[in-house]
Formats: sequence, structure tokens, C-alpha cells
Amino acid sequence: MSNCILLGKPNVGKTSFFLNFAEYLGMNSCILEFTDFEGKKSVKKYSIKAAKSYLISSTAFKTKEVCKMKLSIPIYKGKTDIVLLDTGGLIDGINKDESIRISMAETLKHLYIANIIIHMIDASSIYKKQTSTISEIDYQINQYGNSKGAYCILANKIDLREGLEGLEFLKKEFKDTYIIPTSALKQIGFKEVRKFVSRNIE
Amino acid sequence: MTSKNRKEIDYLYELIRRGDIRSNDFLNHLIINAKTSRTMEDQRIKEATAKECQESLEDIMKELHQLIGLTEVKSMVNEILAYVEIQQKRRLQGLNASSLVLHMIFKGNPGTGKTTVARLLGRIFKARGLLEKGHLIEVERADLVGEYIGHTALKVRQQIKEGMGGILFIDEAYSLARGGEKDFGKEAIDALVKAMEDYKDDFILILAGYEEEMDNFLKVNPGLKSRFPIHIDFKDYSIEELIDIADLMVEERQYTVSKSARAKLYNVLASKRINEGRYSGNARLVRNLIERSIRKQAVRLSDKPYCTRDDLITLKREDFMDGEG
Repeated sequence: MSNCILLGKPNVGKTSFFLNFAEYLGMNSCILEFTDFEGKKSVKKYSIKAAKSYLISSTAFKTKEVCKMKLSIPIYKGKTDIVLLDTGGLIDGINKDESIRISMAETLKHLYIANIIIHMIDASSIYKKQTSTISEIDYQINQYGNSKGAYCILANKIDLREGLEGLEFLKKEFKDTYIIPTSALKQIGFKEVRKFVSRNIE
Repeated sequence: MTSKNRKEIDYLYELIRRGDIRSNDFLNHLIINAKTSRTMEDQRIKEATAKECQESLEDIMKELHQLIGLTEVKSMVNEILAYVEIQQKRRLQGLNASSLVLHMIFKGNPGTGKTTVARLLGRIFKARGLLEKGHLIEVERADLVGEYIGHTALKVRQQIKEGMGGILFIDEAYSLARGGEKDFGKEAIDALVKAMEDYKDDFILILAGYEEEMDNFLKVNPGLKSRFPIHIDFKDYSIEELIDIADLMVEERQYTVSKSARAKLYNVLASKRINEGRYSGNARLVRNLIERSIRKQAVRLSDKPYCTRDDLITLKREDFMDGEG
């Protein structure tokens, strides 16, 4: 089964996308498999709505565990199951909080196994100085993704005014990469993402 | 995931958890990992293609000049290259430039480097942009002469097609004229001559063989001689040159020859030269002698319980046979 990993800096909207995308693909409840930082696995079933209110927040580093969800993606005439992984945010350097460090290590470990890499960047905060502004680690992910092959960038928060400006910047900056403008909140660009994923399923 | 990688990842994970390295370092490691595994795959493909594609003229010329002896041949190649360059320059200036006919005749005994030089020429001409592919197709009488009427032209055309963009090398070309009046060999020659005129820019024809026979062959077919502007004589190697060649071959294979073995080699080569003359084999004989001695050495060593490095690389006197047989 293909492993599709969703990663990026904190607070770019990974979890929103994760849940909304599941909803878009017709899931109304999701079975989430958490791997917490002690390596214990726990399986919980939520309705999408509950999951949203439980998992999404506007503060950075809300997601600390890697969440797995099995999705069926239409491919040709049938459907194929993939595992979509939502991960904790990645930032540069060494964080003083151990739980964040572990969360990042988990993310990177899963990145290594993943077949499809979806790299999310907050297009609206490119010209601002926030935790979600792109930095070294984004360039590294880009480098890694390009060398792996099945890789795209989601320029998220495109519904915001600054989003379009940011998209232009990203297009210039990552010329060799397929960039999909999305809004996790307003479900923009989901069709393209679905197509991208089904194209790259092994 | 290989177990080695798994270990590395687990180790890095631990380092991150303890806050010893930055997340960027982990990612960098992944990047390098992905790249090396990728480049290793690419390299194999690239090496194969790049070798053919991006050879610089200097590299090939260097290779040519590394060949032992063949001084006349080397100066001839330089001459041809200069000629080609000037003709190209003349054309650029709008001057009358004779079209580049580069069909050649190689005369020389077996093992004097005719095929080796032909192969190098193909690559040189490719690097110079005169030939599209620069490959070498080696053919002999049987590949060109058919069995029934009309078959010959077909066969010749087939070979020419394969040689397009490269060099068509006909060894022992005089054998085409061997069979007398009713032989289809004549038809093959006619077909070749026609193709040489029709596709003179697309391929190079090299006729090779013993000097005497080639001269007779050209005498009998006067139309042919004028169509080959370049004649190269491949002289027999002197015994000293053959020894140099032997040294080179031995070195390539990571062996060495002991002093007395070298003396024996010298004797064998000299006596062969006297007894067998032009059929002695030249460089090919040297190669055969060395390959045989390498096998003999292997047999000699296989009985030994323990071999030192010296044992493994030294070819001794007793490894060399008195002759080829």
C-alpha cells in the first residue's frame, strides 16, 4: 500500500487539509491511528466533525503524533487504498521541548518510508515572519522530495489575500516542482491533489 | 528499507530526541541517502551513454598516442584530422572545399592494430562531428557475398545500413575478388562502390588485409584504388615494441613478468618471427602468449596451500610456453 505523507512547517494547515481531504473523498468518520511519543499505538474512531474540533487549532504544534488514516482513492475505474499520514510540524534547529523533538523525529522517520510526499507551505505567510514562514527546512524537504520523485507542494491558505502573492513566489522559488494552490479550509485544489495522488500510487 | 539504513534512522531518531542534532541534519542525511541510492542507479545508465556521447577528442587522441609503435599511423591520423579541419574551415569561408571522402585502405599483417585503429578512428570522427555514431561494423566475405543471383546486393545493402553513421570495416577485402569470374564477390564489390558514392558522407568504408594481397586486389580493380584516398600501412612491430605491448597488457591485468620470463618471451617472439614471418601474429600473438601464461600460472598456484601477493601477480619463466601451441 502506498504511504502518502503530509508534512511541512507547523501551523501551515496540515491537519485541516488531512481531515477536509478525507471528508472530500467521502469519509464521514475516520479511524485514526496515533503513534504517541512513547511508541504506543492507539486507535480511535471519530466523526470527521469531532476530529476537526479535537485536532485542529490555530496554535503551532497542535499535532504532535503521527496520525494515520486509510483512504480509498479512485484510480482508473476502481479504488485503491492508501495510507495518508498527518505529521507534526517541522522546524529548523533543536527545539527545547522534548515532545516536539520527538514529534519531529517521528515525522522524519515516516518521511523516509513514504512513497508519496506532499509538502505543505503556507502561501499567505511568505512575507511575514511567523513559525509557518518558509525556511531552510522547506528547501531541504524540496530537495529530498525532488530526488524521490512522487512529490508536490501544496501552496495552502490560497483563499487569503496574501496567498496569491505567496503562490507566485513559490512558483519562482521551486521551479522544478509541481505546485498545487490549495485551501484546506475552503476545499480549493482538492481535485488536483486527488489526481496527483492517484497518479503516483504504486 | 535495508537493515543498515534502518539502524541509521533509528540512531538519528535517538539523536533528535535527545536534542543532539538539528532536524535539518536528519533531513540532510535523508537527502544524501536518497541521492546516493539514486545516483548509483543513474550512474550505470549514464556511464554507458556518457562514454559514447561525451568523449572529447583529446581523450581519444591520448588513447591513440598511448598505443605502442604505429608512428606512421599516428602521423597519418593527425594528417587526416588537420585535413578535415581545414576543409571545414574553408567551407565556412565559402572557399572551394573538396568533399570529405574518408574511405580508407589498411594494409598490414594480422595483429598490427588495424581493427584497433579503425575503432579509434570511428570515435575520433564522431567527436569531430564527421560521423553520427562512430561505431564499427566488422564484416567479412561471408557477410557480403550471397548464395544466389540478387542475394549479394541485398546482403551488401544490409551491411551498409548497419554501418550508417559509422565505419564499415571489411577484413581480408581481397577475398571478395577471389572466386573468379562467376563468383558473386564481384557483384559485392560493385554494390559497395555504388554505396560509397551514394552515401559518401554517411559512412566510411575501410578495406583491410595483407599488404601484398591488397595491392593485387587494387591492381585487378583499378576503379577501386582511386576511390580510397587514404592508404595506411601497418608495419610489423619490432620485437622491442612487442615486449612493450606485453608489459602494457600485463600491467592492465595487474600482473608482472619476472626477468627471466621476459627473456623467454623475447626468444619466443623472435623465433616465431623467423619461422612464421608475416603470419606470426604480432600483438595478437603477444596477447595469446600472455593469456596462456596467466592460465598456466593459475594452475601452478592452485596446488599451493598459501599464496602471497607476489605469487599472485608474478608470471614466471615456466608459465610461458615455447610457442603458441
